Amino acid sequence: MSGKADAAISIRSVSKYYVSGNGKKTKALDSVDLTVNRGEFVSIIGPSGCGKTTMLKMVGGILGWDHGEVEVLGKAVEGPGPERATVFQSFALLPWMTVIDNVSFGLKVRGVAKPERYNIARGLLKSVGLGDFEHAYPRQLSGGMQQRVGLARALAVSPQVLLMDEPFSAIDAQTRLILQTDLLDIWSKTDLSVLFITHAMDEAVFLSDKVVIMGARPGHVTEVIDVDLPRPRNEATRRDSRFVELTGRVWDRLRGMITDPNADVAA
Amino acid sequence: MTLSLGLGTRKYGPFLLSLVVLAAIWEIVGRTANILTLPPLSSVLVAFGKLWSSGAVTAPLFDSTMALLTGLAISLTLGSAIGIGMGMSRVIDVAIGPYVKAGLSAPLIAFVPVFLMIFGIGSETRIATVVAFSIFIVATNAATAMRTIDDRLLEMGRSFGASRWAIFRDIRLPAGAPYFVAGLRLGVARGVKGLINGEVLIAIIGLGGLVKKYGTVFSMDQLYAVILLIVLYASVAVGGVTLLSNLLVKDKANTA
Ligand SMILES: Nc1ncnc2c1ncn2[C@@H]1O[C@H](COP(=O)(O)OP(=O)(O)OP(=O)(O)O)[C@@H](O)[C@H]1O
Ligand SMILES: [Mg+2]
Repeated sequence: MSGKADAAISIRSVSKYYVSGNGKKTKALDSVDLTVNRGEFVSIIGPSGCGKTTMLKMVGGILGWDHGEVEVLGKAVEGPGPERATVFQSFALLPWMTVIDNVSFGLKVRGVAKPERYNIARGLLKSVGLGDFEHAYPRQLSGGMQQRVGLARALAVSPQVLLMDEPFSAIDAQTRLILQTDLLDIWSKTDLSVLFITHAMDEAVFLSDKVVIMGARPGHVTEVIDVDLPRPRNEATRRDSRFVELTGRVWDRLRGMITDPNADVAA
Repeated sequence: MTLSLGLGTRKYGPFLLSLVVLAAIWEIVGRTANILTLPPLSSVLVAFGKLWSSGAVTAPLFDSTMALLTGLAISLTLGSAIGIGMGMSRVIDVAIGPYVKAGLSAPLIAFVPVFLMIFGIGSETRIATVVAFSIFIVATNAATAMRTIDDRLLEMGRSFGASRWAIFRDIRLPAGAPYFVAGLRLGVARGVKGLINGEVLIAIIGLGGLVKKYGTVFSMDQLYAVILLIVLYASVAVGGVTLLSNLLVKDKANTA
């Protein structure tokens, strides 16, 4: 079995169990299907514990699964790979390194020589608006700026697939809106395929081509909503009646799961 | 200038005052009471000066320092390796953790006679004593350094395809630096303690040997002079390492 040739990420009938210390098995994902086409921006949204992070780690190659197939750019995932990069909720910057060394981290790991990796890192710092901060330490930056560093670090390895696990959830609401538009700006200049996890419905709709709604116990995909808002998106998009409508639709689906956890299972 | 002087006075003033008072009491009691075991401070200081200028302490000081440095070097390499192993592997931790815990609190001075029998009266015995006193705290801190690492940083490293070695070198070691340095500092303090204790017990070598030598002939001012020297020696060793480590981890300490 093989996925569509143009799929950036293809997850097919994937199930995953966690085995806890006392040997108890819990099913985290139940036969999940999900496709991210090349150049597409796809968000996953769903209640806490529905397996979003689990899925992202599997695509990232740092977590295995029990059944099904996970492919990136048509190749079965066997571990981390140079065509993928991740942006983390906690930023995961190395506090003892300067900004430029943090941005260069992935390149260093890949054996790129220092002058060259600094060159690449400088370019990316500029594109995320931190050109003047290469010698700063992460603790000297605000949360929003730290995540810009996290984004630059991921982009530095020239990935084709970008994985983002609630990248803006630790950032204040206003800065977050700015980061969303900046992310779209950067993304639109590349052919990056993005898998983006969030809990914020407006964020999912604003950014994405598709919003994947997941349910819990065990984690499964309930619905995929196509976002037909035109691009480029900007502040006007947020006031577009279609935007409001789609956001409302996502909320309708999620609200049911939160008030009645079994509702979506029956549906 | 005046400001820094003022701050210095506020910081060290009370200590200097208590030092002067203590010295004065010592001098007065020493002169008036005229007891053999408490010579006045002034004669101790004179003895100290003589001890220093006569060169009687140069050789013991050098010997002790060499033993200390050798012992510490062994503790640092071996202790760090053991601690890193314990911190990273559950099996190693269960296998040797109990010995390290025991060694941390055991009265290790009891082993000096054993070392003496194995190594004889030479620097090896003193080195072994320094190692015994310092290695466990170094190992304990190295293990803590490995255990307290933020899993999210390790995950980040793996997601970029970093090898186990790269993760160790670029994430685990620098993240654990403050703990390694704390281990070093405590290791030096304990090592000095072990060194002098061992030397006093062995009785004929190094600074501790001098204590025994002057003590047995009731040469009290010389005895106090040597003790003074030992206290200063320990303070300089620990102070030096503290200073050094503060410089080393200046950026790394205030990270998390
Ligand atoms: N290492 C683990 N061991 C055992 N169970 C785990 C482990 N990691 C996650 N789980 C469980 O698997 C399920 C899915 O977890 P996951 O972190 O993927 O959820 P999530 O959708 O990312 O949640 P959140 O929105 O809170 O981030 C949860 O029930 C969680 O408790
Ligand atoms: Mg999660």
